[in-house]
Amino acid sequence: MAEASTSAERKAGTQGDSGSSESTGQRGPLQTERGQTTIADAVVTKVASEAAREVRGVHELGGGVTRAIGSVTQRVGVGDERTQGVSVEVGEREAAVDLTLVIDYGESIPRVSQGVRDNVIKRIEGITGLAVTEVNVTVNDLYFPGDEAPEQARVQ
Amino acid sequence: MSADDPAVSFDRPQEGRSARVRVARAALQAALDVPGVLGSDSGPSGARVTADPAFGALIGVLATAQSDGRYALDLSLVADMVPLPALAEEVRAHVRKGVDGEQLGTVLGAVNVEFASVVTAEEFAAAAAEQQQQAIREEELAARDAIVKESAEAAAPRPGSMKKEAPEAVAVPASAGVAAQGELPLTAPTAEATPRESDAAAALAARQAVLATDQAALAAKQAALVAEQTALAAEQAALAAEQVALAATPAAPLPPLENESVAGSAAEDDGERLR
Repeated sequence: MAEASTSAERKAGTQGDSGSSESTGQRGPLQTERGQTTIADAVVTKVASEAAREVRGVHELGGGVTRAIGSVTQRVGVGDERTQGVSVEVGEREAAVDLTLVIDYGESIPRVSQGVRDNVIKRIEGITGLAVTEVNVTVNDLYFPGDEAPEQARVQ
Repeated sequence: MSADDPAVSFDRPQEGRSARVRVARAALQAALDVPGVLGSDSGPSGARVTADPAFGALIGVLATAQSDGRYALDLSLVADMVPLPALAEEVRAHVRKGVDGEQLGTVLGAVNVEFASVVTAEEFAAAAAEQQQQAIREEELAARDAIVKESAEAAAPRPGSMKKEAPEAVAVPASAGVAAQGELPLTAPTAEATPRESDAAAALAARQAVLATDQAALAAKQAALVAEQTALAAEQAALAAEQVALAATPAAPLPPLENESVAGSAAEDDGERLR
C-alpha cells in the first residue's frame, strides 16, 4: 500500500452545515440573492468516482476490505459499486476528496495519481461549482492482467 | 363517520388549498419540467416533503413561511451530470415563472435548491422502469380490492338503498388478479363517488379496456387457427378419398422381366461370394 499524498488540514470552507442558513461571508456561485444551491455528499462522491475511473491506469476503486464488503452488499442489493473507495467532505463552497485506487500494473503510480487528481478537481469544480481543496490518493493494490481469469476446473 | 356520510366531502377544490401548498406544488411542477432535472428526492432526512391534502405528498419540496409573509422554498432534486449551479439558476427561473402563473409570485421568497444526487441517463431509466413496475403492481392490487369490495356490496345490498347497476356486466378474467373470484359483475361508479373511488374506477376501466383489446386479439388468433384446422381437415379428407380410389382400381399386370438370366447369374455370384 502506498500513500501517494498525505492528508493535510482541511480548509474551513469544508466545514459547517450546508442547510438553508444564510451565508454571511463571500458569495460564490452557489450562493445567490435568490437562494442558495446545496450539493449533497452523494453528488460529489459520484462525480469523483466517475472522474477517477476516466483516467487511464485506474483499474478499480476501493481497498481490499471495501471491495469484499462491497461485493457482498451488492449481492443483497444495498451497495453501490460506484461509491466505494471514495470519501468526501463537502461544505458550502469547498470539498475535499479521499480516493482509494487499484492501479494497473505497469502504469506509473505518480502519473496516474496526478491524472486522477487533476481530473477529479476539474470534474467536481465544473459540475458542482465547489472549490476542491485537496484530493488524497491512496494506491491500495496493483492489478495484474489475468488476475481475474477463472481457474481450470479439475473435473468436467 | 365514514366516506358515505354526506357531511364529509372529499372534494377539495384547488382554490380552497392554502397558499403554501399551492406555491409548493407549482414550484415542484416547474422544477421537474426543467431539462436536466430527472426527479425529486425527499432529502437526506426525508424533510423535503409537503403534505397536499388533495393530491398527497409533494416529495422534494418544502415551503416554509417567513416572517415577511412570504414562503421560502427548499427543493431537493435529482439531476443529470451537468453543471449544477447553472441548472439551479434555471430551476429558480422556472419556479418563479410557474408560481407567477398561479398568481402567487408576491408570496414567493428565496428558492433554495439542493441536489441530492446525480445520475446518468441509463441509471435513471432503470430506476424509472422499476418504479413503473411497482406502480403497476399497486394498481393491480387496488383494482382487485375494489372488485372484491364491490362484489361484496353487490352480494349483500343494503335494505332500502338504491344502487345503480351498469347496463352491461364486464367479465374480468382470472389474469386480472381475481383468480379466486372468477368472473365478477362490476357496478358502474356512482355519481357521488369520492375522488379516491373515481380514481380506482378510472384505473379499473383502463385496465378493462386493455384486457378487452387483448381478448379481441386472442379471439382473432383463435379464429385463424380454427380456419387453418378446417382447411387441414378438408385436405386430409381429399387425400383419404384419393387413397380409396387408388385401392379400388385393379392392379395392372407387371411386365415380365427381360433379362432373367442376368438376375440368376447375380444370385449365383452372391452364392459364390458367400462360400
